[in-house]
Amino acid sequence: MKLSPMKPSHLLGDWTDRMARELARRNSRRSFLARLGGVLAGGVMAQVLLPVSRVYGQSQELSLKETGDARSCDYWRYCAQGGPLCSCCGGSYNQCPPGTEMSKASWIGTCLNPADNKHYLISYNDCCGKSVCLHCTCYRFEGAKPVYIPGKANDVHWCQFNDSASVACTVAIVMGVAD
Amino acid sequence: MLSRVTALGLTLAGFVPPVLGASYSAATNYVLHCQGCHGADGVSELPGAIPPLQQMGYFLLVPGGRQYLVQVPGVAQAPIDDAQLAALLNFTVRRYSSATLTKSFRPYTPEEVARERHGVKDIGGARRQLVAAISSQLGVHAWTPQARSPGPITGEASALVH
Repeated sequence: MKLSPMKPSHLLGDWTDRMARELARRNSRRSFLARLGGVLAGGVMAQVLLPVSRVYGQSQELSLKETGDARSCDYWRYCAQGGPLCSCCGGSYNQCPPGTEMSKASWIGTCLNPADNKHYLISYNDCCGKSVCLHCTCYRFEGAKPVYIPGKANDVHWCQFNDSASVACTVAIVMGVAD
Repeated sequence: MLSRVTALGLTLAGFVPPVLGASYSAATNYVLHCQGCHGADGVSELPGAIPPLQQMGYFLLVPGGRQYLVQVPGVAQAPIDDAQLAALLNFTVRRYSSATLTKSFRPYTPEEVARERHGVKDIGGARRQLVAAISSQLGVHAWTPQARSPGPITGEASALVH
């Protein structure tokens, strides 16, 4: 799906409305996965394309104590995750898989780390440029809002501003302590 | 159908967004409600789509601009109360727009935020008028969004066929 270019004469007046509409129209990963599931159930074989080239950037997270399985949707960082876990898709909880690049925009929420009982700021960035990863799809909604509040929505395609709008998976990057 | 509605109701009843129940510092609220698009330093990686916060001071110098900064959807709809939003605005203006801020700046108050945050219907029209006023009164060309098309979705089809 490709959007028509914005018309300069309407840019400012329609910008906010367009953002919300486009996000809502383009961004139902769940509906895509539902359709995909229907296709798979119909007998089409699917092979996940694992990323092949490079890792985008290195994590600059602060050091923190954490426990649990980062490949499980129950992991503390994923309290508002909206999409496949990159830790199951060739990346990690805070690094995109090789061959993808991190979205240039994201939404940021908070999650409680049970290891130290502190709330942390978590940036949910999509990893862009590859087929959607079919492993470890994870949807949780602590602090998330519907797409008509796009800045707080976990069901938004944050890759829409990157060179490729395809979303492979989503990372959960600790930005700091929420205090 | 009823069971779905009931299930939804139970889900919503048990849903307590931590952001709404928490009271954070202005710096933390900036990260939570602004940084995802505007970046850690107030300059987005999406310069054609997201305005730089360094220009907020210009808006404070033209009639209606002060109110506009409260009424921008991302500001007005931030899920925090009026006092936290006033603190967030003051923090943001001072930290990111010091180069365009004058000594005449009066901090936002919770009462002012409560009065203004839901006061405009045509936010795009308001911005157009303010950008024109900034241009004519200050001789500065404030940021305007650039025409662009989002990148193509190239990968999803291949997930179906491989």
